[in-house]
Amino acid sequence: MQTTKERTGKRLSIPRDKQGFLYVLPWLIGFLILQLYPFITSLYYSFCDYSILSEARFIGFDNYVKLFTRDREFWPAMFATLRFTAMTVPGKLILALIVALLMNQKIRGINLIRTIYYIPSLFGGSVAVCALWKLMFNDKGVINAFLQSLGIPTLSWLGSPDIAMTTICLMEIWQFGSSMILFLAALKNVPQHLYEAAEIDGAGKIRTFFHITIPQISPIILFNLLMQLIQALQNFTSAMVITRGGPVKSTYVLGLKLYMDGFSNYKMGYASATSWIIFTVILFATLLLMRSSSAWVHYDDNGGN
Amino acid sequence: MTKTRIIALLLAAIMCIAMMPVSMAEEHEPVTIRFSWWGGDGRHAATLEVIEQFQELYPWITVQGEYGSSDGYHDKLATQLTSKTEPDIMQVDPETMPQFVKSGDSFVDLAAAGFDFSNFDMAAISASTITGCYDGVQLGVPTGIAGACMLVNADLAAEIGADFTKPYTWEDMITWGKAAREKGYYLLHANVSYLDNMLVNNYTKQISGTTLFDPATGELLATEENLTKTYSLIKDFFDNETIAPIATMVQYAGDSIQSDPDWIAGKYVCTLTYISTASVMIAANPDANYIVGELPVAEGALNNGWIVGCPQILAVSKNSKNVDAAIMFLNYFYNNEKAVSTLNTQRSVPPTAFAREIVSADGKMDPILAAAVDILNPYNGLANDPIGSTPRAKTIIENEIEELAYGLVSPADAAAIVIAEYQEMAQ
Amino acid sequence: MKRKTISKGLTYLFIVLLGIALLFPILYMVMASFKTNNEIFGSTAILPERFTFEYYVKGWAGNGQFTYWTFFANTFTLVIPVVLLTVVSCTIVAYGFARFNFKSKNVLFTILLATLMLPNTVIIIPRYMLFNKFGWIDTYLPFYVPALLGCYPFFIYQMVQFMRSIPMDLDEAAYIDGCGTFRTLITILMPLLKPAMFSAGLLQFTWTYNNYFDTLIYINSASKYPVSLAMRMTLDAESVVEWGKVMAMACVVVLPLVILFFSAQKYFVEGITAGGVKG
Repeated sequence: MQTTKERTGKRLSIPRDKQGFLYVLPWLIGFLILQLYPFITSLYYSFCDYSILSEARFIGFDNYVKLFTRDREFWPAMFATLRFTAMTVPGKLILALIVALLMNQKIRGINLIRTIYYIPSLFGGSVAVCALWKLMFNDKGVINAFLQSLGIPTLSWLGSPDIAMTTICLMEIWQFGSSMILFLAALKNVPQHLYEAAEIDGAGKIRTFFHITIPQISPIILFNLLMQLIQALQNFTSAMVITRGGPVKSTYVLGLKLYMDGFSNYKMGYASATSWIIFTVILFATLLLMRSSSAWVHYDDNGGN
Repeated sequence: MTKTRIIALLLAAIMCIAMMPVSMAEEHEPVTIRFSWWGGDGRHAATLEVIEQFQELYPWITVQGEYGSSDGYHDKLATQLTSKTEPDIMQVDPETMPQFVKSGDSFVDLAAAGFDFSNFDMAAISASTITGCYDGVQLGVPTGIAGACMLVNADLAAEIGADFTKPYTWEDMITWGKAAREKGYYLLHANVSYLDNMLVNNYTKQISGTTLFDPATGELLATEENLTKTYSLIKDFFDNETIAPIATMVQYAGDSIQSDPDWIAGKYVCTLTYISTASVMIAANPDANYIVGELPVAEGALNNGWIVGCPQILAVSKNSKNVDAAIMFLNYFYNNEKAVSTLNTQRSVPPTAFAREIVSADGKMDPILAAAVDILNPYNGLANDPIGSTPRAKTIIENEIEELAYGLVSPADAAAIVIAEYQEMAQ
Repeated sequence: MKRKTISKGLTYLFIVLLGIALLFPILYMVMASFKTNNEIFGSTAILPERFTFEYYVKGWAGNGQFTYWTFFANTFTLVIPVVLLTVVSCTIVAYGFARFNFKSKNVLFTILLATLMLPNTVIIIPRYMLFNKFGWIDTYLPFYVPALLGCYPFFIYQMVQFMRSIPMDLDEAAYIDGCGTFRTLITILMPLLKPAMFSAGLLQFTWTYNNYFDTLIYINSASKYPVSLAMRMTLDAESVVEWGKVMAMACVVVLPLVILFFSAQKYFVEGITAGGVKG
């Protein structure tokens, strides 16, 4: 009785579904005030000849035409970016998931072990870590010394155009922690009774993993996949600091190219055009993923979205 | 009664005294100016000390230091210049500054604003944009002397019989390089950007007598033929192992060249470095016995190429509301004995004879640096042109050095690619 | 029983081996903080020639004008409000997206995701100009305000995904009990979202703490530098960089993060204990 009264008596001025808009409002205000202007300006600049201190001059599609047809760096950079993405995204996610599963166990000292596993990710893109990576992986570095002591042939980790990209990717993968944390949080949300039911049904560990764990954490798998993809397609810090895009441009990713165009050559219009190309690639990849997600992502909210 | 009178008098006296500084301060509105620079520990400490000295002399002026790493410094400066929020005084890289000058009207004419240039050799610093002079207007003051320095490990040079103290050619270096290899050394320590700045830049000037672009019109002067010769020389350097293999040197690219373990272990006979970084190279292998050598010049050179430059420029913002205070600070910074003595060689060898004398008298002038300046001075080659010194122009040259060294292109291919890219840039 | 012990032993072994591999660079870094430049670059020995805390002391002293006491105080003044504001605002916004069907929701959500897709590089200057117009340069407002307004699509989307794995029935039940939407969020969803909120907070903490580029651009006065800026303050091509000191400070700077993670993990690892059951 009382409940009906409360329901009719209070805050009925706005229908429930429309209240959702109120919750979204802070972001919308923030977007309109803080994000929309930079977004639109960069789109406009992509059609301009604009070197930061001078006035932007509208030149139509010239920047895009030049990028696609005359820029010797563009296609190799695109290829390097795709290579970087193809290595780091699966590498990071698989390692993060494996470690999250390990860390989800109830074993002695697990709190400490979790912390230790997470430490590499706490450094972010710290200069010290980048300097360290260069140091460890150089021809006379500790990694090669170690390989030598095992009788394994050494590699030119940073000096060979074929291998340098892998060396950079290794550092990215090494910092898998943010995905791992989200997996861990998701694993904890899997209801225990589902596992119990599976055990009663006599399902093995592997079966349980694929039939219960994976579907249950699939929203976070999608999230991690999408975010890592976006991040990988834009990333350039490790390539900039460790190899400076070399040797012979083998690690010169698009993000680095647009950074150099923008802040080293001060061609902001041209850099903006590159940005919007990256934007389009990411958008396309996202739409594909989203489209596919209905087939494999499992939501518990009865299709609330 | 008398008691109160005395107290009243005392009070009045105290008030008078208390008022005095206030009235003095009223003559000068308190002013804050911002000064940004990049550098290492020593430079930060010395500069902060000079700021303190200045503030003691002029208590109504506060100089706020905005300092940090060279990493990202110019990204920030470009952002600030675009939004007109740049500091009143800023340290600028001389090769980046032309891009700021070309595309905006950001810097004050220092002579007109009252900066005292009397200690400077005006003929020298007004020769090029590198030392802050644009169309006859001094938009910046050099902080020191920079330029090439052939830093030689004297013992190794003697061991392989190379004499760097007499004029020699690039081909001589190849010959010496072979002798060095026999003893297990490499002759020249250089990575791709050093090969560009030292070898390509100067060798091209030497064989052509011109810069890459016309400094006045921006027209392309470099020819495919000359660039082919330059790239052939580089190929000879790699083929004859005058320098270490490219796969080794890419690991010590740019300004990490001093961390090459072979340099630390003293396995290079010499390095062509900058005066401003010579001390970094020496610190990496401090036990070796160094001398400064002459600089290589091609046979029959039309111009010897080597120039005196500067490592940084100080400029004053046109948007500054306190140009006068900024100029007062610069005058103190460059022309006051105490300031000069405090700064010593933190920004390379000082730019004025006045300052060099003071620093030498203090015993703070590194003999190697002094020798390097003495050796460099008589060369007096063609000043670099602003377009050829842009990061973009350099990147194009360096890409082809790498491709050539990895055997992906021939010298002729490399030259053709550079010319094609440069033609596009010149447009 | 025996099989179980063996498999547990193998798991342990795997964890330890992988842990050593992952931690090796860190160990190398700690060792480097005791070494001189020539030891760091000139040899592959892992152990330093001597253990001295010289670089820690020198590093902590900063640049003569400010010490790391100032830089740490600045860092926490910057990071803590950002983290709290982010977690609260992003949870609220995510609630709006995850649980309601209002008009134009899908369009707005697409825009939200799209803001993540444009590389930062070209937005830096226009955004700086905007913040400059607001008078926010050389303050921490360029960090606080976006956090307050939930301008971190990453965390919003993350919270949305976590909310969507909580059954809608719980909300419905709350509505039937007479809860308003806000009370439903606070009393029903938030307890279940604790792991998600803590992980978001932790990630935001780490990222803001390590953020070099934005602090470089927005903060001018050395008196306001956070540790991310302070750490690079002495890196310069023309000066001799004491890498031991850089490594030492990198180790010191990461410590608060390690402690934070160690003590916060139970909140997202222990997950929902009391009463919270899904499905």
